[in-house]
Amino acid sequence: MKEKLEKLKELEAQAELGGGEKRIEKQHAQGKLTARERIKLLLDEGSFVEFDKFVTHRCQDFGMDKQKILGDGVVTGYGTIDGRLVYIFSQDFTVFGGSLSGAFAKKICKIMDLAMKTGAPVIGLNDSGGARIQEGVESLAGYADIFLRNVMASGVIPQISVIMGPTAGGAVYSPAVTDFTIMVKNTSFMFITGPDVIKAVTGEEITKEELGGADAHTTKTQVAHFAAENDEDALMIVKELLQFIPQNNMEDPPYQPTDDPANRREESIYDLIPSDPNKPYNMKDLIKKVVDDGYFFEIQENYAKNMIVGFARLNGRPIGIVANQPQFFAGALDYKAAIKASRFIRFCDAFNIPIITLEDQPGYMPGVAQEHNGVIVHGAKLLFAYAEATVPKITLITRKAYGGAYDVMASKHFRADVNYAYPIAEIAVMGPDGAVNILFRRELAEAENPVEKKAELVQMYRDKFANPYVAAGLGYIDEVIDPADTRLKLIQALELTKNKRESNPPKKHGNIPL
Amino acid sequence: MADYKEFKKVLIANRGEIAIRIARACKKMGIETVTVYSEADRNALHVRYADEAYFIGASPAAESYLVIDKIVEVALKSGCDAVHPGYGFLAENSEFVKACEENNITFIGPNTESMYILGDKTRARQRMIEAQVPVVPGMKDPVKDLDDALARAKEIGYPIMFKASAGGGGKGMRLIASEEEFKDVYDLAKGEALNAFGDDRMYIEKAIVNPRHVEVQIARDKHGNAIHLYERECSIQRRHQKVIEESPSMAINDEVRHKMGDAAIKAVTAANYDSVGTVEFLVDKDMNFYFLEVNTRLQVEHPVTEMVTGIDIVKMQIEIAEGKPLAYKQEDVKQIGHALECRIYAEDPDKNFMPSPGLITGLRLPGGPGVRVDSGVYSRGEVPIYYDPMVAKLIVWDVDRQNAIARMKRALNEYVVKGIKTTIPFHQKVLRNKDFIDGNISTDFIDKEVLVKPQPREGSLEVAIAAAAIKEFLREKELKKKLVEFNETCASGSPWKESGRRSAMFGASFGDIYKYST
Amino acid sequence: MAYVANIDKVEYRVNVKEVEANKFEVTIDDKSYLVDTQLTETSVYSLIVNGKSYETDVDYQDGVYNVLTEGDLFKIEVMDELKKKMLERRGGGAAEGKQIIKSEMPGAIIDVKVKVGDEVKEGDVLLILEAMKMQNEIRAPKDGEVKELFVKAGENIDADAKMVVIE
Repeated sequence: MKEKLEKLKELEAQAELGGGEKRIEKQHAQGKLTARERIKLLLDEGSFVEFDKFVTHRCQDFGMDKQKILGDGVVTGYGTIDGRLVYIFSQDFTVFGGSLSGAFAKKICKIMDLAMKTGAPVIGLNDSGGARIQEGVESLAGYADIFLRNVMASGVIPQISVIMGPTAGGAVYSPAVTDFTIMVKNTSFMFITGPDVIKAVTGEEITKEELGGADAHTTKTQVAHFAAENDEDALMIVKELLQFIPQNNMEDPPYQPTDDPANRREESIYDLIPSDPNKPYNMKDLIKKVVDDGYFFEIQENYAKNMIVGFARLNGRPIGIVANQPQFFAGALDYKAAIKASRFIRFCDAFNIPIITLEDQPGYMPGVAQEHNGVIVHGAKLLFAYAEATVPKITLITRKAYGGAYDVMASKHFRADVNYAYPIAEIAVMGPDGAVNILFRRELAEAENPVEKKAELVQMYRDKFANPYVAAGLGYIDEVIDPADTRLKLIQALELTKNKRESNPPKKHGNIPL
Repeated sequence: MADYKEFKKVLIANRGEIAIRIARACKKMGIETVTVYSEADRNALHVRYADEAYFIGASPAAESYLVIDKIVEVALKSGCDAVHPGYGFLAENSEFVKACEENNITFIGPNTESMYILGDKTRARQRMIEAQVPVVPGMKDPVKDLDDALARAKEIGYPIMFKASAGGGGKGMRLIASEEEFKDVYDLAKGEALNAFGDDRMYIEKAIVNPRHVEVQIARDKHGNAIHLYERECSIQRRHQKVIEESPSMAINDEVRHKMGDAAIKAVTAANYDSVGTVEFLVDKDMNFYFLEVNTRLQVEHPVTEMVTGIDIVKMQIEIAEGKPLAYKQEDVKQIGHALECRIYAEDPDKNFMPSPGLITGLRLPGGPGVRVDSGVYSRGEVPIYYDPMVAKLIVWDVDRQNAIARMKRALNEYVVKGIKTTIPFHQKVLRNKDFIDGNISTDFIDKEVLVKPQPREGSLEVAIAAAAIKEFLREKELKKKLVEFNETCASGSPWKESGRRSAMFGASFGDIYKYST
Repeated sequence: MAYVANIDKVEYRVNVKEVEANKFEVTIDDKSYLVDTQLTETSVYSLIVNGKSYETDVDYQDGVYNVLTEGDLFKIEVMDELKKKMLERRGGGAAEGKQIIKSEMPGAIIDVKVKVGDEVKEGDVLLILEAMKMQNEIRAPKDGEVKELFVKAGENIDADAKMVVIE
């Protein structure tokens, strides 16, 4: 027995070394951690249990039969983060460059299947050169197996991808399907075709970083949600993110008690929001004043800055916040903002996270680029997501709510549960300027002093329509609230909707305008 | 000789610690006490210390403690033969004195005429110049307008003090360094004076740089007998508000001390004063002293003098009002040892001394030899937002200054006030300052020295860190407990929600909710 | 629990372990203390450390502990290590060195409040960029001198255009 145990220990030690010390050193020199170091950092101390340590690939060609490494390039298993179960796979670049073999894929599929059975999140740490070419179609099959599971698990258990090295070709699709993607700056890249191929085909010259680095994918595309400074930072983001999301789609997101009083009044909000609709303010300041301990965890911070999305807590309960940012393009909705917000809303809806909408927007953004980039279809996504969501929806109009965008942003008409407005809110079909130009075209043309006349009409319009009371009179706004009481009011709304049930008609799935 | 009447019942037209101080003196003298209270003060301590208490109106002082008619009405109703105004509120209001006289109630304080003379700084100066009491160079009559003010300021030279004729106690005055500044603040200062005193007359005075504020406690009876009870050093001020007072003063020697005492007696005699009072002087570094003003009331800091002389000043004040001759001759009055007073304000020294009213959740007063606390609050009591934030005075006595400082530090250490922020830690800082210990101070000492420069610490850093870390540990433990409770009670969620979630998952819907329409 | 205590900008690593009820082993940097802790009044703790008795008054407000002991007030920020790391990640570093301020969005410059050579303080308004009728105040990210100015009032600019350099 003793002998056998020793043999086991020896094998385990061998497996844990991965591609060997030299390759580990190389990994470190690039500023990257090894697959196992990453797991150790992410999971609670001593909680990791590894599966399939002794799996090796089955490839016989190209001399691969002589190169077998225990574990075959991916470390899989389960463990806990803050005491909550998670499944994890961590690709090992030191073993065949982290390339994906059939066995490799099977290991990943195994833990994903377990995650689906036990209802716990899957975290994928990606650091892979791509398909293992020696294995050919078996490797491709492996990818497809993973993609299928990603799709099946979508909306059932949370899936988080961390890109900690190169991810190219087909490998990028798995992260793209998962709920959140975190990229490490400088060391990680994602692209379908790399700079070399691009140069050969189109003649465009571009560096890897510019093409598919963390910055590119968090500012120019919405492929990644977070850009991390280094491996450790990226894992910290995962931990932080998990604090807000439930284990699966049947559970509530984790409650975290707070000693921030529910009835905390914030009179500083009076000074924060200028009543002059042409003066911007930072919506994030408002969010931080209202949520528990001022703790707001923003997602896609650098993409479509006119729309803010992220998590926070109110009286201990996690919420998803969707807010316009008046500081950026006046908070106007454009196609990027619509895409960003609708994906977030659908995540929240899938995972029982109440959505709080803070609205201050002048409508959809005009422009040729907008129209030609399909603002119609993308804007419709936002509409679709809001209308379809059945989690508690609480809306606060802080200032402007103009036009169709008013309808879209979780209005009463879209089954929002509680709709609040500040006394300075302006809810109208369009801004006073535009409205007056259309409504009083003739009067303005005939007026002796058009400028004066216009000012007068604008004022009249403002008095009559640009206030929350018309909407409140129709029941579209449930309550016009004192801004200092925002926190209390939102918490009350959240409490009253905590057991909400609402459903959509039976269907296979809707046909969201993609 | 027996031309006096002993009071049977006295109305105390004040609140807080001073109302209690007066009630204590009355009780000792066998006089019944009547107090008044506003809406906010129903639970106040002074209401409970008195024999009778009457409601006089809403919380703001202007609707209660400052309403002369109501107070006179209570005095008549309860059959008081005298009123003690304390300090602040109506203490120096000649209208009030007149109203008392008309209703045959004795006002415990000076006669109206001397109050008239001394209550107005311009008039007081004039009288002092006549009586040959040294005064600060400056113009005695109120300025007419900005031009006049600028001209006069130019004449005596900047820096100047711009003061409200009706002001006092540091209120309604501004130090102005240049003509530019004067132009900027002229209207503002007048507006403030109007708001604070209902009188916007202002005058100009030369500002003495690095002055010390030394005042002499005096008592003069209705028969013309006058004594002084030595001086108090009140230089430790923050924005012209006294913070720490002591007696004797380090700024003067015995010779000057006696000269000042004599000058003070001369000053009050010139106004035919007949109560206890305080003659304030500015003292420069060469021990020249200048008459500043007479405070025709009982001072906040009177206990300092009581501690070094052993004389009950409030009792003396009441006796003078009764018409009794002074019980002491000048040679009976001795200044023994050293006394210090720290004013404890409900203010947050870390937040620019912002008032910190609220509920006192815990209170432990210091005690032991040589320690006296005149306090107006109690544990679980509320410090209302409407009145002066001073909640207590801590006074210590010891044989000399060094010992008194040590004793004060000890007493401050024992003093625990929870729930509201107080100036206790700030006092500790002052007491540790080397310049303070050396007696090397002036009226801008706090603003220039203590508040700006870091002060030495005596507490153990390790203990403080340990305490904070343990508290954080306990706080987290408490939160974890809440989480466990939450998980045990409501985490499983309501069956209502569960069924909703299930049916949403399996595509069954609840009726036609989706046809929702507004 | 491992904490980082911050007082007067000096950090101490603190570890608290509950040994038994009301007894804690507190390690500050490398020194270890056994602290007997009793809550006496509302928030006044009696601590006995190696036989020495201390009274500390501990108040918690907005993440800062105000500890009053032996007449001294200590303002101490205590945070568990993980939370601290998360906060640091979110806080980002203060702006340093040369700052090139670029426009985040296209718009019209309607007012330029500074000129080359001006000294500016962090938070000062440099210029006003109007986009979507909203007048955005572009503020200085740090104290410094305006070295270069690339825009003038009335000009339309694109996203990512250089506007001001502050050093």
